[in-house]
Amino acid sequence: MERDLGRAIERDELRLVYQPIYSLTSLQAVSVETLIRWNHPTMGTILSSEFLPIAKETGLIEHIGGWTLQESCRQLRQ
Amino acid sequence: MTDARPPRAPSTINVNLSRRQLRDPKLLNRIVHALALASLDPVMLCLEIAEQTLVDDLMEIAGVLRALRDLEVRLAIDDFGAGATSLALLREIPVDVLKLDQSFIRPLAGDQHEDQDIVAALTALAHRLGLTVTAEGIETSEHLDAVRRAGCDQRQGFLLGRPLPAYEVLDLLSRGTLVAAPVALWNATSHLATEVEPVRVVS
Repeated sequence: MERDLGRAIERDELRLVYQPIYSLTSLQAVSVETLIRWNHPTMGTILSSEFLPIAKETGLIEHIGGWTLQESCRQLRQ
Repeated sequence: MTDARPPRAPSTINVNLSRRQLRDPKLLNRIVHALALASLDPVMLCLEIAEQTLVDDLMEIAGVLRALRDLEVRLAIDDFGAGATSLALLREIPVDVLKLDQSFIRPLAGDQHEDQDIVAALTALAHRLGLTVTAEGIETSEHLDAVRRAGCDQRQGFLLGRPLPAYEVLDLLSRGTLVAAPVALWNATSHLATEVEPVRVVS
């Protein structure tokens, strides 16, 4: 899994999803929290709680974190 | 919702920062670069930092936090109350948003007044310090009612709040009617303590 994770970005296997945060007064969605999923070619969708601990141990988190920051800003710009 | 609104971005895009990222000397450059590439105003980016990271590493990351403030990005304490909570953090760290951990929210389904009182008191304290309070882990209509009564500002969780891909969440944010619809749906189904899917936009 660790070796696969190292290649997940290059293989375009990481996906970002966004959880809406709603105002309790206006009832509008006002913010979103970026969450990450890994579409593994054989293991299917892996939640961040399962692979981020590995990324933190191995140092891949810097790479994945940097990609997440850049990609979420790019995807949600208007 | 009366009239059509122009598409708008969320007031903030929240991204988690890990302990290791906070110690990365290139972090500020990476953030500036990401904002510039997307032509985003820094105030639209909210960086969420886990309370535990702040408690453990405060000395090491204090300088980074100040630099992030100078960039004018927003800062949130994530999962507040999940671990060894320190109220002193609220005084020492220049943050904008307090995200109350779901461990405070989960007991709200019961009838213990103390649980509700704790959330209300923390919210009042955060408000006195000028923070916005987001309640995490809202999964039932009981949770929603309780955090509204406690005075929280925002809610996040699977009740009408499943994670969505970018194109769907942008649509959700841009159309008042899409927000109104799930609320009506929620009102109609509030007797069900089950998860309700948000209205999907079919492309």
